[in-house]
Formats: sequence, structure tokens, C-alpha cells
Amino acid sequence: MNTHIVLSAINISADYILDSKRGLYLNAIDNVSIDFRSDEVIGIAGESGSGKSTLVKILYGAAFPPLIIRKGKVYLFTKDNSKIDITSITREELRKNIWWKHISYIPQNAMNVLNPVKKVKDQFIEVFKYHDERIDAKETITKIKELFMRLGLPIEALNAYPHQLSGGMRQRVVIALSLLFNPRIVIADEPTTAVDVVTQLGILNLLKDWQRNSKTTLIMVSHDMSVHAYMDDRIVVMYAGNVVEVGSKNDIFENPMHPYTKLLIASLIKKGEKKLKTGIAGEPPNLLNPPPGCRFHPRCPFAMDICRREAPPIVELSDGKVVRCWLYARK
Amino acid sequence: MQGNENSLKVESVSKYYGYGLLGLKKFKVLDKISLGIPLKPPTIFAIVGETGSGKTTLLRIILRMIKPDEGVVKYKGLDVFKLPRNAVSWYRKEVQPIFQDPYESFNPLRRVDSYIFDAAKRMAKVDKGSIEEYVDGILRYVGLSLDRVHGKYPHEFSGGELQRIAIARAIAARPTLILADEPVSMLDASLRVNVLNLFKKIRDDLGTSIIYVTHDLATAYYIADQIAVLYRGSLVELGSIDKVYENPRHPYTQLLLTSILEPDPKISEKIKPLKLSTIELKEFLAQGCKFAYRCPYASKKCFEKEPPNVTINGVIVKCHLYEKS
Amino acid sequence: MKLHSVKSLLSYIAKRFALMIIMIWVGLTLSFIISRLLPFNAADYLVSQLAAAGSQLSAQDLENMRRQLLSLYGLDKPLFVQYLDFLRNYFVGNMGPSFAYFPTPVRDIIINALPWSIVLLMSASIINWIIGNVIGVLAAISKKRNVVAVLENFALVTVPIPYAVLGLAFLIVYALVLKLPLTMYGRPVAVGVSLGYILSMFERALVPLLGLVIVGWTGSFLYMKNLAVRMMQEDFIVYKILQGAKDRHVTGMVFRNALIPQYTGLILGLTRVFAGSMLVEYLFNYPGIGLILRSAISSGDFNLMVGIVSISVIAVAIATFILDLTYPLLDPRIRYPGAG
Repeated sequence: MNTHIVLSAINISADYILDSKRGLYLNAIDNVSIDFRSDEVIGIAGESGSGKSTLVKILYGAAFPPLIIRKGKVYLFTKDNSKIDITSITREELRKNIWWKHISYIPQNAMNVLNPVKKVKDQFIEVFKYHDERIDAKETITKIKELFMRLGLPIEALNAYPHQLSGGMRQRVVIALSLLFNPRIVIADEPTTAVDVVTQLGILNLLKDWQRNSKTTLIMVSHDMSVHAYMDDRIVVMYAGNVVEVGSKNDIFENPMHPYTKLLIASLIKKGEKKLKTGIAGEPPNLLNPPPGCRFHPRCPFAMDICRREAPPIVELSDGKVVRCWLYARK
Repeated sequence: MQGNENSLKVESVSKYYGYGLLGLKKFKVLDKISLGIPLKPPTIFAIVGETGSGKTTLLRIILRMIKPDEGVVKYKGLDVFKLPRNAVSWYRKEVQPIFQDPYESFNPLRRVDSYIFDAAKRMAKVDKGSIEEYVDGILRYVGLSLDRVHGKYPHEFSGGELQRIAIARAIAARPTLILADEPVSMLDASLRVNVLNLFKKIRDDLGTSIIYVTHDLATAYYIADQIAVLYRGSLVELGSIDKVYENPRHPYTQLLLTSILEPDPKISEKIKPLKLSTIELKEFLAQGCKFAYRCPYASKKCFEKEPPNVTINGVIVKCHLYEKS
Repeated sequence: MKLHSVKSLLSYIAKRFALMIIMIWVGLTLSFIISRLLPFNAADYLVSQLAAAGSQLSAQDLENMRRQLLSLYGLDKPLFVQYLDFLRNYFVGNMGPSFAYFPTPVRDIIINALPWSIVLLMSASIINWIIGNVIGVLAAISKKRNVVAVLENFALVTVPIPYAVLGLAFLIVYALVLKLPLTMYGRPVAVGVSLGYILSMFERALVPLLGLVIVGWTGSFLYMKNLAVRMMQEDFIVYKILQGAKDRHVTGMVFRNALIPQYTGLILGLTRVFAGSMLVEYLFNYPGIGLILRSAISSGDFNLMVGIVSISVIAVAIATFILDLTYPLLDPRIRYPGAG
């Protein structure tokens, strides 16, 4: 396939400052590198506190205090193949030229992100204004209507206030907003938490159809492995601020390498299963004071001596598979 | 006292809410719900429905937090809303709730172990000498210990641990029935199974029945013995979970089963998408079947007449399709 | 508009109106009861003043006089009859005669004083509300931490200090330190509605208004700043920022959404105008409702007291009614109740 890298995170480490005077930092992201390619759905999986939401904030260029980037770069490759470092350009530059035009964002909790006192239509028109897109009112409305038709949204929703729409509908309006300027990358942060299974399926299909037709990059953040099974081409598995494994969807589900991924996949309850399953013992570590060595070692059944002392290396295997574990390190 | 004494019976319970300007217009959030939950043999009873199906309202009614507008709830043959004063605290001990968000069910300024001590002392009437041993035993049962929990506040625990403490608090009262409202939906996948396994253990070791309220059919199937499916306030299917699962009869149950996403790429590829609905309120107000607007089999009758409850092979289905003409 | 929605709108208005009437009735009844619970009345007061002045009247004469006064004021009738008379009179807008300025009707006294209080206090309320809210939002968004800290500290220090102290301090600074003119207080007030009357009103209101504004905006400032800071964390504002909204768009949106609760504060604050401000008016010798209330209380003038309190009660009830009717214009969530 003729795809190319559109976004590249290189050796990112980031902390939340809790109390700078006492030197209290929460190390949310530890040495993470990922390439995102055109025409793919790439999932970021992980449990709460694994750093997946923090990571996409950094990718989007929205690392506001108390979150600070200690190390690393995020490069965005534009159409003419020039390279922009998202971590070092100004807010104004990001706001005006990058956000929504190159890369847009579907936030967590998307049902509650619309301004309650403005009609849906006006919330679309506002986005044109933010980016100084000067087209006349009629043209704007035609453009929004086209988008609604393409996404199968009812046109009447344009004249409604957000609270008059159902939760699922608001979520679809937010998706439509994010696609307004045909961005090349869309980050969807838990786009379907808090919606019903039936609505969830509809929303995921909306995103999937759009991605397949436009051959763009969709970054899906979710804690729900069944969402990843349905949507993704590739999956990035995060644990306690580390990327522990990257692989194709089938590799992750059928041939997981990292002990955490193995246990996670084994603990999932599939439809129609009654057989007793086991979860992962213990609890995720406290990132104020992460365990030395591999951050998974206290819960890992395969933990060795070296796991308790040294952070594992990033091991690249064949077919773009990456795993961060001593078990696969060649010495 | 009448009927099966060892069960909780919900008998044609309805609850109305207001909407619109002034909230003058009413719709039914629960529409004549009848179901029975056996206490002996201990049973895990799943109540499954989407947001707005009325499942949480039903749970609150069983907990005596709100009164139904019509119908009765009978526990061991007694009307729960007409209990003599001394029986109210008995009912509070017999039926224990577990809520969705463990951080919201504990006072952040109160030590968590005090909740379990309270339940042991006031409800289970454990005497002073053996109370520490009793509490420690219960905490060990849920995979913790008094040493780990002693003197700590809610924020010092992770969501998974705190939910297990909430379960410990519930079983410390020695209840006959536990009402769990989406108890694992806030927990991470790898910890979810542990809590669900704990529910199975409680049913088998302690002989406690559990009402498991959820929107997640996969976990319901994993632990439950019986299932009730709610849609827009009406009970559409009720019966043994194996039968309902293998042969779902109501079109809504069928839809629900086919829209669940699977943590398995092979099955995921077979899932077919479906048109989304934007007609919630209209559905609540529907004269006939509330699912008619979305049902692929809907006929004219479905919009006009309330469907009957048809019993097929021990499963109750509220649908015109199965009506004997 | 469909017929049934017109109907439900009318029934909404009718309900609110009925609520307003009930509020007024309860308020009037309470102020009647409280005035009758006072340990003295106007007749006692007059008689005791006469006695204290050393008049040669015998105890018998004084008692007779007291009785006559009581019957004149209508205070000798059974309490329940007094109450019915009171309600009937208020219904037609008759508040009875003042006892202290007998037989001037209470209504006339209030009508004379009310414009003074309205000019001073209403402009103070509105100016403070606008200044406080605008600076509040700007402070919440501003990156100039030092300026914000100075404003905030000033507000935090002045808010808890009683106005008696602040107003006096202002007066001292104004008159003794800055030596600014106070001559308008020496001139007599023009009588009757004329240009001179209105001019003298504004002339006199200027200094107390300045005093009220300099320290009065801080309350709504602090409230608005906290509201706006919290609102900046709201999902829908953060989302707008991530959409690429410019700072001025964000400011506008925060202001628009914070306006909804602040509007209630403004309207209910305006009702305080009708009670006057005893302190301010006393301090600046300003002939508003507050000054009259003060003399009514000290002379046991029930009718005047009840009259002033009733005006406030009616003002609050009407304001609530107006709020109920105008809130939907401000908040679409009330205008169009939710569907989903």
C-alpha cells in the first residue's frame, strides 16, 4: 500500500506538575515513540491512568500546564512534505493553521461539549470565523448541509439547540464539526463512552466510513478493547505511561507478545462466554512513584531480576511489531 | 403473607415523570413491570437496558428510595412500602446496594473501614469482641485485608479496590439480596473480571441473590442466571439467560445482541450497522409497542396496541409477533 | 406558533402570576403581623412624648388622649378587623395615613421619597453589576497575574467591611483629604416636578453614588471571577479553545454563559432599591426611602413602616415574576425544554 507517515512522535516524555516547590511530578508519559501513517485507523488502548489521553493531548499540541513535555518532538508532515514540530511552534500558529485544518479532535465526553446557548448551526459558523475562512453565509450553510448529508445527519438538527438533541445525536454533531475542513488526521478520544451499544455502533460506523472514503488517519483512543477490535488497523497498547506493544489488530488479539497484553486479552469477556476467566492481579502503579525497572513487573508472572532493575528496551520485531519487554531483548 | 415467601416480587410497577413546559405532561418511565427474583436458590438476576430504559428507576424503587405510582414491591411476601416501622431497618439490612461509581458512594472525609465496622455492628449485630476478626475476614474474602484498609480514606484506593470495599460493606451486613447498579462499568477491563468473579463467589458461598443492572449483555451472560430486558420503560423479554441468549425472540433483544461489539476481530467484522434513532421521547409516549419505530417487523398493530406478554418455553416475550391468534 | 403551545404558554404565565399574588399576600400579612408585635405603638409614643415634654395634663387626660388617638388611627378595633381593613385598603392602593405626619397619606410620603432612592440606588446597582461582571470575566481570562491579584485583594479586603465604615471613610477622604465640594447639600431641595427638582436630585446623588460604586463593584466582581474561572474548565469552553477559537471568542462565550446566573443577581438586587438604604441616605443626608423608614421606626409609625416594607415585598414578587418570564429568553434550555 502506498501510505506515508503523517505524524510522528519521537521519544516523548511528559510530566504533570503537582507541586513544583516540593518537586512532585507525575510521570504520565515515558519515552514514547509512534509513527502514524496515512489511510489507517490506529488505536491507542490502555486502562485509566495509562497515559493515552495525555499522549493525544501532546500529539494535538494541547499540552497546557500543569502538563509539561520534558523531552521529545512531535512532527506533522504537511502535503508538500515539509515538517512542522508541533511541540515548538506558537499557540497562535497552531490555533490558526494546524488545528481543525490539518488535525482535528473529537473530545472525550463529546455529548457535553457544545455551547448550550447557541444553535448547532451557529456553532458551525463560529468555526469558520475562528480560522478566518471568509465565505458568505449562504455558501457556509450549503457547505454544512453537504457535510450533514454525507454523514447521514438530519438537516433539522442544524436549527436545534444542543439540549434538544439526544446524546447520540450531539455526539454525531461533534463528529461532523471535526470533519468540517477535511482534516488529514482526526483524533477521537473515547468517542463512544456513555452511549448505548446500538448508538455506539452507529457512531463508530460513521467514523469508519469517513476514514475509508477519505483515506485519512483516524487515531482512536479507547479503553474498550472491543472498540479496537471493530475499528482499528493497528493498535498501540499503553500501560502506566509506556507503550508496551504496537502491532496489527490481528497480532494484538491473536498473538499478543507483551505479558500485559496477553493477560489483558485473556481477561476479556466475549459474547456467550461463561467459562471462569481471570483478571490481572494487583493494581496499576502510582505514577508519582513508579516502580523501578519495568512498570509492569509487580503484576507480571514472567518477571525476572532485570525487570526489577532496568527499564526494558524497545524491541522492534518483524512486520512493524514493537514490544517493550525484556523477554524479547536480544543480548 | 402470600405467594412465594422466598423471593422479591415486583408486581405491575409503574412510575411517571413529567416533561415539557412546566413538566405538566407525563410519560411512563416504567410501564407495568412485573418480575420475581428468587432468593432461594440464590440467583444472579440481570436487568439489562440502555440509558433511559428505566433500569435505574426500577432499582431505586426496589431500594425504597422512590415510591412507584402504581403497583407493589413485595419482599418475602411483605409490601416494601407498607412495612411496619421496625421492619424498615430489617429490610435495609436484608437488601444491600452497590453503586456504579465507588468514589461517589463513600464520603471522602470518612475512613473507609468505618463503613464496614458500622455494617457489621448495626446490621449483622456482630459483638464487640469478634468484630475486628469478622471485618478482616470479609475484607480478605474480597481480596483485601484490614491491615491494608485500616484508617485510610477513599482517595487512597484505586477504583477497583474501592469497589471491592463497597462489596465488602454490602456483604458485612449479611444481606439476602444485593442490588448492584453497573458495578463494573467504571472499572478497567483487566479488573472487571475479578469483580464479576466475586459476585459468582458470593452467590455460591454466601447464598446471596444478586440483581445485576447493566447495559452490557456480555458480562450479564457471564455471571447471570436470569435476565430481564427493558426497553423505554417496558419489560420486553424475561427468562433464563441461556434461553434468551441462544434464542432471543423479541426484536429488540435480537438487535441488542447483534450490536454488541466483541473484543475479537473475527466476530467484529460480521457486525452489521443499523440506523440511529432520534425519537426517544416519542417512543416513551407510544401507545403501542415502544420499539415499533425501530423494529424491522413492525406492523400497523404494533403502533396501535400494546403487545401482550406471551410465554414461550418459559420465557416471557412482550411482542405481537408471538401472539396466538 | 401552534395553538396548544400558546395555551401552555398562557397557563405558564397564569401560574407564575398567581404565585406572585400569593407571594405578595403572604408578604403583606407578615409585615402586618410583625408591625403589630412591636412593644409600642404610635399613640403610646405621642402620649409619652407629651408627658416627657412636661405638659400639665393629668393621667386621666393622657389616657383619654391615648384612646382618641387609637380610635383615630383605627388601632382600637379588634386585630382581625384591622387586618381585613388593611388588606382591603392595600388592594385599592390606599396605605392609610401616616401617624407621625398625620394625616398625610403614607402613599404620598413614599411617592415623594421613592424617586430619590431609585435614582441613587438603581444606578449604583446597575453600574456595579456591569463593572463587576466585565472586570470579573477579564480577570478570569487575563494573563496579567499582578493586576488581577491587586484587584482581587482589594475586593477581598473591602467586601467584608460594613458599609458604615467604608462610607464614612469615603466621606472623610472626599471631604477632608481631597477637599472636594459638598455645597449642594446646603441648598434646599426644589419642590414639585421641575427641571430644577431633577437636577438637584442628580446633583445630590452624585457623591453618594461615587461612594457606592468605588467599593460596591467588588461583590459581583469576585462572584463573576470565580464563576468564569470555573467556566473556563467546562468541557464546552475547552473544546472551543481546541477548535481554535480566538481569545475574544472565548471571552464572549464565558460571559454569555455566566450571564445566566448573574442576571438573577441583578434583578433581585434591583428590588433592594425599594427599601432604600438607611445607612447611605443617613450618611449623605439624602432624602430617600431609607431616611423615612428610619423616622417611621423611631416614632412607631406602623402605617409608614408597613407601607415601605410592602413596597419591597411587592417589588421582590414582581421581580421574581419578571425573572420567570425573561429567563427563557436568556436560556434556550428553559425556552425549549429538552427532548432527549
